[in-house]
Amino acid sequence: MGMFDMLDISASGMTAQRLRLDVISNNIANVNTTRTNEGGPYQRERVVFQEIRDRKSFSDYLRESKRAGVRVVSIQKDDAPFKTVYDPTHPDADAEGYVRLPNVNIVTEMVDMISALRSYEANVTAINAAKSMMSKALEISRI
Amino acid sequence: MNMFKTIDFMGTLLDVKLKRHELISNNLANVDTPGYKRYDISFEELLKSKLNESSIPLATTHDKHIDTKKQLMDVKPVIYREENHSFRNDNNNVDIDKEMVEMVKNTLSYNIISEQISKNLKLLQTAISEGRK
Amino acid sequence: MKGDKAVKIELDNKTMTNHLINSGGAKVQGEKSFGEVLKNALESVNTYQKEYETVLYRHLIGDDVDLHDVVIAGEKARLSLELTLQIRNKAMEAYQEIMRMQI
Repeated sequence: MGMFDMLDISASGMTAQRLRLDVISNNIANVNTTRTNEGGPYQRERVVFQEIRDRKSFSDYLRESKRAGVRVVSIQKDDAPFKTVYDPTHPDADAEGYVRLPNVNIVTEMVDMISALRSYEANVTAINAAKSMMSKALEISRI
Repeated sequence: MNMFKTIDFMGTLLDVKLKRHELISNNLANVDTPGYKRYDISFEELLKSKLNESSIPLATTHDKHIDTKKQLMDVKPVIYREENHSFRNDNNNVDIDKEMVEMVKNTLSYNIISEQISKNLKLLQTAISEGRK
Repeated sequence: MKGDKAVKIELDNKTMTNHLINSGGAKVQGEKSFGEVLKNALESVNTYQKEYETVLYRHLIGDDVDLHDVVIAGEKARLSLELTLQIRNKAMEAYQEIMRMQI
């Protein structure tokens, strides 16, 4: 239904931010992971957002492409260099006693997480506002 | 019947408010999208400038009164994109706080106009049914 | 005044309304006759009713129609119908009163 489009847009925002939150959580959880399937330490990941532009509704064929929210188009590996720490006692230390640790910075992740939460909440507020408007519209015919 | 003219006009305003909400929702959903520029819709400002440019005040002789009103009815809303420079690294110009404030104003506006339509309808209802002695 | 023709018609709703429309009633120079007013009212009821059905249908099949559009269209249809009914009722009352008059 036409007027529900705006709900879909907000929903897409929530989905995207939640995915971002998942990725951030994964980064935090793996802050000390030195072994991965690919060998080597865990590499930080981040999401790439993209605006959705050509969603079609039933009657949309003659109209310009509608704005319809956001989506995560890919999850990228962060190419920033790994941290190197001198710790010969570590099982994964190399010949000179250095260990490569994930390029995850806890502080950065926390800040990112707060931002994601805030964006998520903004989308929720938008949905509530939409609901309030629709209720109000229904009240027009109430005697 | 012309008794619905005001209501029709308010209905158009509601359409605009709803569209604006859709655009604001899109802005919020894309608050972290690189390169995204915010959307908005312009209507009230266009109406205002239309009122200002027609130097004839609304409440004068009968003919002119109708003319200005008709001109107002002709104003069409315009959806636009703000291409201004962004201060962020990712070239996104959405300010989440500004969008939230806009949304509050917009929702309030919608609800108020809805209320007015409701009252207007009640008035008509009363006028119609109380016609009996 | 109205004559024999009017007296013989049964005072049921439909016939009554038709009669009012067709007889036209007294006409003042430049103004609409009562029959015309009633006719216009009925036509506008029809228009608003159709508009409402269209908007409602489009809303149901998912077309781009907003909720307030549906509600407002419904109210317009309802109010115009009520107005027309009141006009007709008034006319009926007036007619009956005239019939009761002793010549």
